Amino acid sequence: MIYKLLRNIHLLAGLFALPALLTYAVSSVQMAHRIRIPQNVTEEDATLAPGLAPRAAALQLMAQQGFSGDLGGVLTTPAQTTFSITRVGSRYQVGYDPGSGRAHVKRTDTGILGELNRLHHLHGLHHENRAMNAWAVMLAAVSLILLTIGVTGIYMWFKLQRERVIGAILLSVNLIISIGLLTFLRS
Amino acid sequence: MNHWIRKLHIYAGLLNFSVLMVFGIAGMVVTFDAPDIFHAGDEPRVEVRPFSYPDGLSDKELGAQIGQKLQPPHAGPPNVHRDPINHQLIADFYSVNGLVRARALEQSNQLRVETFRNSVWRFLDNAHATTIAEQTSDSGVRAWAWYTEFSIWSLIFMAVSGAWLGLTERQRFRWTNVSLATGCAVFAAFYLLTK
Repeated sequence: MIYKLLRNIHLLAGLFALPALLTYAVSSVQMAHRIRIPQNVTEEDATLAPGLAPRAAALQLMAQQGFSGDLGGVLTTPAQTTFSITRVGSRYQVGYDPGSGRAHVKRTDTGILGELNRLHHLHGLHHENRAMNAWAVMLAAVSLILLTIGVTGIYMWFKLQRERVIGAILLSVNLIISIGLLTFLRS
Repeated sequence: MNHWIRKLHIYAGLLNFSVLMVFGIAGMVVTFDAPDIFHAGDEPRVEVRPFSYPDGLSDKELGAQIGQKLQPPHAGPPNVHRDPINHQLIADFYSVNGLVRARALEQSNQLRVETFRNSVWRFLDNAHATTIAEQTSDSGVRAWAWYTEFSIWSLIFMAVSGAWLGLTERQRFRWTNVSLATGCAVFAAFYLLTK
């Protein structure tokens, strides 16, 4: 009864999380092997109301141009205000002149590899963009699923009599190497 | 064929169990924002050491010399920059355990060394991000990075083989297709929303 329940949980949780797990795994390969992310850069000008604070300028730009994402990298000098608006796969680097209201926008798009990379790093529930917070909730769910399928997998293996010996050897190898390395690294 | 796929699926899981647990814990750590070294509220351990500053070195070379002197455990090359206020050179040595920050006190021939040690949760988060891209000569870090590499590919194999086994052997179980379809739909919706 418990075996059947855990087997179903293992299967259904794994299938549910499959696209997200593959996203994290493929982006890990991209980062570990430093696979270059191609970038497409375009530039455009916009006119905003003069005298705006960085935050107000960003909000007006979002409303006017349809940009969305997190505001960051705010730097104010007497001549110019710069900030960035970042969302998955795109980054808008903005230079705004409060005197004239002119804004120059440099947009960088990163394609699918860049999107997967950004999704891998997207976490936390502090974003102004609700979609980003929603993704962070999914990250929590996928993490929980990963822990769940690990534990249920161990239980199911243990119930398979014919795999116990070789499985015990493999699990021991895993635990000895990983705990040994982690202990060494923590020292 | 499914007999062997199942065997390999089980063996891959057993060989990577603990690393996959580290991946899962890392996801929870960043979701719930476990305090990092700058927000944990712990004061760094501070010590002042004598250090002679050779002439004719660039900042990067000086950072490397500080690294040779301090030998911060498991750290890669330093991130060298200057304090914007007093222009002192700062060499930051990041490792899975946090940060060793060395500040060059050139006029007194000293180094001020601050050691920020992270929590075990942040340690596990850093461990999950330690890949073969890491620039370090530390054998422990290299070994862990290669184990992580093995686990990443194993995770891909287990995801694909698990889906194959589920779809071929549990096709009659109604929830198999429902679960996969729901997962794909939720993923696609979130992906499009974040774009």
